[in-house]
Amino acid sequence: MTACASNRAVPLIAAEGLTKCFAKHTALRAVSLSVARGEVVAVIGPSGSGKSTLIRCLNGLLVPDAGTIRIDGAPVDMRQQRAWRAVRLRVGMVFQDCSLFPHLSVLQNITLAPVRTGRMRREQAAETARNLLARVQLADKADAYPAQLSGGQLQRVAIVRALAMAPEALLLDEPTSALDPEMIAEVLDVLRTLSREGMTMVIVTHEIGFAREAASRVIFMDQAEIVEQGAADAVLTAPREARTRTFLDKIL
Amino acid sequence: MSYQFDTSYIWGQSDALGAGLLMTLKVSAISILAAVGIGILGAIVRVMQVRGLSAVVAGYVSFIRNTPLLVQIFFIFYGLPSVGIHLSIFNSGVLALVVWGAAYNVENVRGGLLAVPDDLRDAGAALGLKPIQFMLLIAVPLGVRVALPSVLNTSISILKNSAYLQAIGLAELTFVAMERISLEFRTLEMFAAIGIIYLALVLGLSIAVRALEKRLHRPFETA
Repeated sequence: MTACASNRAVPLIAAEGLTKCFAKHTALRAVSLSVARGEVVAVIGPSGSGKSTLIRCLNGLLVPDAGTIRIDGAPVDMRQQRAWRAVRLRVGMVFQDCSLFPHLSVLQNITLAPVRTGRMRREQAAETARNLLARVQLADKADAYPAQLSGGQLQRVAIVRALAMAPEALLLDEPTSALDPEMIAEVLDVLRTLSREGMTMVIVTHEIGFAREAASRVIFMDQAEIVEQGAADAVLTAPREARTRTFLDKIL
Repeated sequence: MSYQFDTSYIWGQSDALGAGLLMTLKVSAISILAAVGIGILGAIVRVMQVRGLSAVVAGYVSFIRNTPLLVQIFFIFYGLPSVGIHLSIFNSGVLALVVWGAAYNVENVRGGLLAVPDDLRDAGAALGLKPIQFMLLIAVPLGVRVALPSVLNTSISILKNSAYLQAIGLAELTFVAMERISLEFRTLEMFAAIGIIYLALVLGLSIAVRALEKRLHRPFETA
């Protein structure tokens, strides 16, 4: 029960001073971010501002050059792949281009990780998968292959695949950016439901409307730094920083 | 002087040719399968850059690809006994073809593994899979599909190169033909006959692999 009794005051994800460089280019400059349980944080900003780099640094898909990350108060040893793997078992991720494994059926895509990481037995994983698929209206697609699904369906399966690991938080890297407009709504609906149910999420997005309505906090990034953050309404309606205003004027 | 092509002579040799064909099939089938298996293992070692081993595999591939197969066959059959390794003719033949074919398959499969998108690697990692799990469950199944046409090429070469094994006295198809020719001098008939048999074998192998390819492509078909 110790895991459940974890202190509510301790942020689930606490990153401090994260810096990431590629060759001579600094993609992330001393960025700090703290995410409480149940919080939905939307990260917005122009392309190349470091949004994706930031959330990829949170689960070690990119290893930060400097800084610290604590998960539920416990520091992550960032040089150890094993430590990152432990983070990834608690913090799931959804990508822009869904990244389903094309040779596996929908059900196999979802059950692969829970079974192979020893979380669940095969039958239990399949049952979990079917329940989750039903929740995103894809119960009839369990045996389909990714090539047979639409973009919106693929992305919903990708979300289910992450949820099947029973994560404590989800990182979402522009989950609707690669979708046709008519498919964006069906994916956002799923994310809205998750946020209502209290799932902790960090979501990089260009969907300002979604951020305003579903995010408890909005972070605006530009040039590898967090320029401004605060309650969604405050940042999106009355931004304090000129750069935030310029960006919002451009995309709204 | 005119040479009288005698078809009935070939039919008269069907027992000898049948025995040779059986040997060719046996030595080729074992070698092709083993070369695919070892090729996949070698490619994994190379792509995962297993410390120490990766360089060994690279050296092996380079050595095999840059020396004549006949030299490799002679090395195994005539060379190894000097260091106390005595292999039968059949085992020497299989070993030579496997060592030769696997080297090419390492490169074939390596190419396939490198074609697996990085997005999928990230997805696997984000799900908590270990690199070796990603390799075996995702990269190999996808990479082998990509590599299949070149693996087929190598497999065809193994089958055709089994003819070299007549040089160490393995009683396969070419050996049988040479033997009959030395006794009865029906050169044209014999070489025509085994030429057609090799052609049929290679075409059959191609058809089988195409069918496998089609089967493996099924998940990728839309609706």
